[in-house]
Amino acid sequence: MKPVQTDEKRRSETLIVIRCQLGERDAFRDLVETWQRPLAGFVSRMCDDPAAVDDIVQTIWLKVVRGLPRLRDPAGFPAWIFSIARRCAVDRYRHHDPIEPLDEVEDAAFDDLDARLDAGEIAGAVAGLPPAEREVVELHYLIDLSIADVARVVGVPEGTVKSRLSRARRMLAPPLTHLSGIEPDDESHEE
Amino acid sequence: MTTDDVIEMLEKDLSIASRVRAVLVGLAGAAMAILIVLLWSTEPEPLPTATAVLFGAMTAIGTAWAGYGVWVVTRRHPLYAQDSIVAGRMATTFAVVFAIGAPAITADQGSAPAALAVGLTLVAAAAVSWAMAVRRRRRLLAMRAELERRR
Repeated sequence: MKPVQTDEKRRSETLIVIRCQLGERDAFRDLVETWQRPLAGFVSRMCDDPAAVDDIVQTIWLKVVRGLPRLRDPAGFPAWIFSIARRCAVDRYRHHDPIEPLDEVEDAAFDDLDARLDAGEIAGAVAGLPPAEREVVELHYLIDLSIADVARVVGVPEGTVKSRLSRARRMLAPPLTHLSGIEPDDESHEE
Repeated sequence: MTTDDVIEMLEKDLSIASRVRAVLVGLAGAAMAILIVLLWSTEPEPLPTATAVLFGAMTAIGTAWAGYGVWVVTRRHPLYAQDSIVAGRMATTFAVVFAIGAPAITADQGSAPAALAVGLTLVAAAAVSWAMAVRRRRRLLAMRAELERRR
């Protein structure tokens, strides 16, 4: 079962952002402790050069600290920070490989997949995906952003995110089928 | 890169002192530039060239410091809600001092009414920015209270 991020966790994260926006300096430590690991992981998987990851992460945090007072919706912080992260990484390397969007797929297929897959199980299987697919899988399953937030981060329509997730799922079909316990017949019914 | 590394790296950007300094520098620069322009523009006779050049240079310097202060608090070290309130208080205090002092200083040139008008305009602008800061902080506190209530 995929661990769904609880409302309580989201509220806690939003509270930290609000405390930062209020100007409570102690809250910035909580903010960094909450997001440094997923942020560094996201950047390191986007970049070919491990030595550059720290530089990019530093740049991201500076942009966060300087832009946070202007963030209108504290609840939108996760999408906002990963938008910054993606932009910083792309600016650094400029080798993002855009892909043609596929047709949109049924929402129900994703709901079903969400219910069956575990973020930890996916983590080990996504490394071999192409960058565009890996990015959306990571943001949606590992960092737990909604489809809408992933679309905002990546800068594409929600349908394109779903298409990329669908393509990633097909690429990951053998390992995910094994991990999630989905029988091949079940998988064929979802398509 | 650990949490401590990141916090250490951000320390300068999070420093309240650097924000207060920027606000003070900006206000002082703006006050200097406005005062000189007031004195200069209300001189009954054209000033000697050397004096005019000096006034011009001092006005430019004051304006540059004011611009630097604005740049720092909007881009480099943007003001968080509590910082904005402190800055609003400082700006209002500065403006009130200016509104009282500038007419007295410029009274000899007969430009006290103009100085008072400028001073009152500054007081109004500072008070509005202070009120906006208070409203922004109140909105954030309400959001925090709502989230804490639902926990």
